[in-house]
Amino acid sequence: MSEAIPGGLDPAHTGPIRSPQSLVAGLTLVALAALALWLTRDLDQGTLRAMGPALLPDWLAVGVGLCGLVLVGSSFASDGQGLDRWSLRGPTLVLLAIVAFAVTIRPFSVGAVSTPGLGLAIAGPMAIIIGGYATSEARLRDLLILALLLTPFCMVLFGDLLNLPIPIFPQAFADLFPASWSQKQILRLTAAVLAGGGAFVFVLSPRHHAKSVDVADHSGRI
Amino acid sequence: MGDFFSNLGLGFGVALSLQNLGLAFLGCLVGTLIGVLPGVGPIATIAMLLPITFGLDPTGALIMLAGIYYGAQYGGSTTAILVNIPGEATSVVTALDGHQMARQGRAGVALGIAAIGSFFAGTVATLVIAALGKPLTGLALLFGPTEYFSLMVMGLVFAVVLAHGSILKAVAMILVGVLLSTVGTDLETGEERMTFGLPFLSDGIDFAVLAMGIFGIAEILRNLDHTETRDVVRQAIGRLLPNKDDFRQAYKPVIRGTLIGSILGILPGNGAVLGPFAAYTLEKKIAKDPRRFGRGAIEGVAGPESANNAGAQTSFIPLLTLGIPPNAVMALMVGAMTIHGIIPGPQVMTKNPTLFWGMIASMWVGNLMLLVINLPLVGLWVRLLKVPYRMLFPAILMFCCIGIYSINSLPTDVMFIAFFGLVGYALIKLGFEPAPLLLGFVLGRLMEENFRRALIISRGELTTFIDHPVSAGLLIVAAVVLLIALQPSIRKGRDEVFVED
Amino acid sequence: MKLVVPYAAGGGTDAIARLVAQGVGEKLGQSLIVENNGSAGGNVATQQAAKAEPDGYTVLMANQGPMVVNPHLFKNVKIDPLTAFDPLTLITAAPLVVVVPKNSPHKLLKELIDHAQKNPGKLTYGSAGNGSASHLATVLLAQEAKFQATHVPYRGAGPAVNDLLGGRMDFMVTTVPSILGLIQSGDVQVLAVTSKTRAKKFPEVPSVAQSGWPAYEATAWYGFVVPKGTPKDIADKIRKATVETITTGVVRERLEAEAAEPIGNSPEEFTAMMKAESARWAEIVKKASISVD
Repeated sequence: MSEAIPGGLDPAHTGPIRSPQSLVAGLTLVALAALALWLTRDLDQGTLRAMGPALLPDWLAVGVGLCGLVLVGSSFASDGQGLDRWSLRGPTLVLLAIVAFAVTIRPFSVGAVSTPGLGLAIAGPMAIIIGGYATSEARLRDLLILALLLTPFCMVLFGDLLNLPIPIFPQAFADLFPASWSQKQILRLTAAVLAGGGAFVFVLSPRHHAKSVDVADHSGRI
Repeated sequence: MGDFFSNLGLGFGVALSLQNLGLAFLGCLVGTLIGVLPGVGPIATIAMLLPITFGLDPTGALIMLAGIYYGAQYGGSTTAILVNIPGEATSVVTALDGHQMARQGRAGVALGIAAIGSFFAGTVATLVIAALGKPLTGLALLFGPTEYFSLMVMGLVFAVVLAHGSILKAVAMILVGVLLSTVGTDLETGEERMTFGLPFLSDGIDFAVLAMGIFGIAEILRNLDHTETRDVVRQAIGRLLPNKDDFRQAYKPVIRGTLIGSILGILPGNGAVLGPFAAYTLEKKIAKDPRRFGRGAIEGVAGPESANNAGAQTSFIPLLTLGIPPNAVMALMVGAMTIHGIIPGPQVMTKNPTLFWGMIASMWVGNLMLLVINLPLVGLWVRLLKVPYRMLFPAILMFCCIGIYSINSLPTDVMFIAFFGLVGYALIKLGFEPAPLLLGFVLGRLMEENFRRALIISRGELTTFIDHPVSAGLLIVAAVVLLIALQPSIRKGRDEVFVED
Repeated sequence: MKLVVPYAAGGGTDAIARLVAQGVGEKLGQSLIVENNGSAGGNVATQQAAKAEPDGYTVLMANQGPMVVNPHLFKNVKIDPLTAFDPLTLITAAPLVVVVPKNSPHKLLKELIDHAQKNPGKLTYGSAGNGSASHLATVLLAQEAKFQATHVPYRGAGPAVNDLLGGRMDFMVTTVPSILGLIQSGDVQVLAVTSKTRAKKFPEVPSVAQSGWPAYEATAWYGFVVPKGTPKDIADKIRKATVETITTGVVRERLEAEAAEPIGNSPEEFTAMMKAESARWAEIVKKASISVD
């Protein structure tokens, strides 16, 4: 996106660096190229007749590195944009929400630690609520309603209608039902209960008419 | 010619039976649905729905599966336009101008022109298949690894033109994209490249994961930064459908896109992915004011969308006439034929004429249905944009997670969209554009594999790329386009072009 | 219940796996959901299935590749597939076919191989990928018949067949479903089948063994296995449902249409067969000095 992003520092003309954005962008490319070259150091380049696995990646890495160097050079030669500020709250919570979903949808283990597979019925609402807090305007009540209504919708849509192999709930939960119940029946009942819960919250809990928070740079910035 | 009409007549006789109409409608509906859902691709869904078709007659089963396939292409454009998440390689370009149109309150126009352009393209492509399917097969066979490599080079040159900022940065992104495509097990030697020893990287990075990360998730992160531009349509929503002016601007791109898409779709090995890129490049190059591109130019939606649908349609040619599936979805169709005891190959046309012509006729019927399904939906989609962003983005987030998980049932894929989301956010902050990276990624793997195959076959002679006339022609086109693309920066005598802002 | 299939969705064999899954599910009164994962030549899916609870809810479609070839081919296979699973039954062992384009001067396998022996490295063949059944069958053929040819790997049989038709490949060994339509239309000629004897489907085509290399045999086979320790009674139930499904009705018809006879042997026979195959491929892979990380 080359449109001017508001809120960024204006071109910092201090010192010899006339375009900090180009400098950082260039250095990033150089670092990436170095990483690629390092990762393929053990692989064979081969010949044109029988190209090795490393031939193309290495050429590409050199190309990326050269682009980076030119960018670095241009950051001293011509004026450009300054660096944008990075916010912390948005990315952290959004990424956390995605990772939380990933590790709870089915059993997942890293080394000795493993997570239980909780299925969509729990991973879904968790992702919505954690992710929802990525904005300072988050309201727990609204997110709760969203989670309790959207999750059963997705359960029915993906698990029931589209038949995709997605874990819906923990196995222990399914075991609570009589053996004569099919997976789909449990799914539908659970979905109905969740949706009912959502409707319940919607009707019973007071609606806050909070002032609309519409100011940029409210919090969580660095 | 008489044959042509009697064959089409036979086809429509089959396609218009009540049962087949119903199946085509069902297929289109399911296809639209999975296309709209980010991440959920036609492959996973068709595979899951395959058992349902066991009980149908083969023609009905294939009509439904084909409906899902192009329905998904249709639906994918909707997501690209509304929330900037291209679900398929072919809708990357649609996201560029389509999403900008949506931000300007012109989502309805973008969706409308996409639907109408696709319908026109689908109609033409159906006629192309019916009339020229058999002779065009020969063209497909002309394309070997050598020609394919040159075609990919041409495609990468298009990627330079796609970018609307600095050319240097665009080139860097293309190279990074190609570099990312080489991650994973090397096809030829079986050695793992740049996988950090991680088993889930050994098959390379999944396109849907990369696209959803650097487009979809990064877009959310960016929007969270900018309250003022965030609610996608804060301003009044304009017209729901294109008006006369829009049509005047769009009809030529639709025709050009249809032509380009139809031709590229015939090529084996998924040449259809190039269609939208080529159409976009062409429109941008011949436009009076190319600076409008990337900022909501209607031609940038009309051309690629038509090319996309035309290509999706004509890519049935290798399947129908040779029995060779050009992509994974077509492979599933082969599976469906197998289950019903039909052997895909040149003889389908003569041995099962009702199936062959019925399917072709149903493509047009399906396109008509998609138009009927999608035009009324435009209003609904546009209203979706009115949902406050603080509610919309957690929902998008969850749909992305579920969709990506459904592709391979791998939690690591889901984590990767978080990683690439962060990468995409960094790219935006550093002034890089993600579209050339994605194009480099899509074409990179095809390019490397075909380059190496061509060199094995030619015993290491690089001249093979010039000796083959088709290949030489493509390389010349690439060189010319590249020169034209670089011209402004050469003329202005600077190494970096921040113009176009 | 889930059926883990160690390759990506799509194609004839996957379709048959789904057909079998459907039938078995109906017989057992619950749905058998197919889970595809083709990563790393099927090794990822195989390892996942090996680690699954042995409660009868997980069945693996055991393919030649991940079960007996990959452990010798890949350096990083973490399990021994022969001991990690309890075999149920072999579903089928399908022959492959040696094909040449229709304008090829070679009408017999012997002529093709003579030509290849006289021109070492000059002939080019395509395969569905490094380590695929089609690649390994050709490697074995080259070892038995003592010739050298240049290998061009593709992603799947489709694009390789395309280049065979375009005249850029001299010959190819490939699975029957990937080329059957073109055989019937006469666009390619079958020189031989790779099973020990002739296949019912192509009664006029000799096998490689009958063409002068009696030791040659290569089939693409698959069966069902369950994780080690699955209760015997449950395993038996699944096995019974599988055998019934594959030997009757539509599944039988489909398998036979692809020149693949449904087998449905006992767990002991299947175990013995896999052991023998594993030993054989260890030898072949070692001789050919191919390896995959």
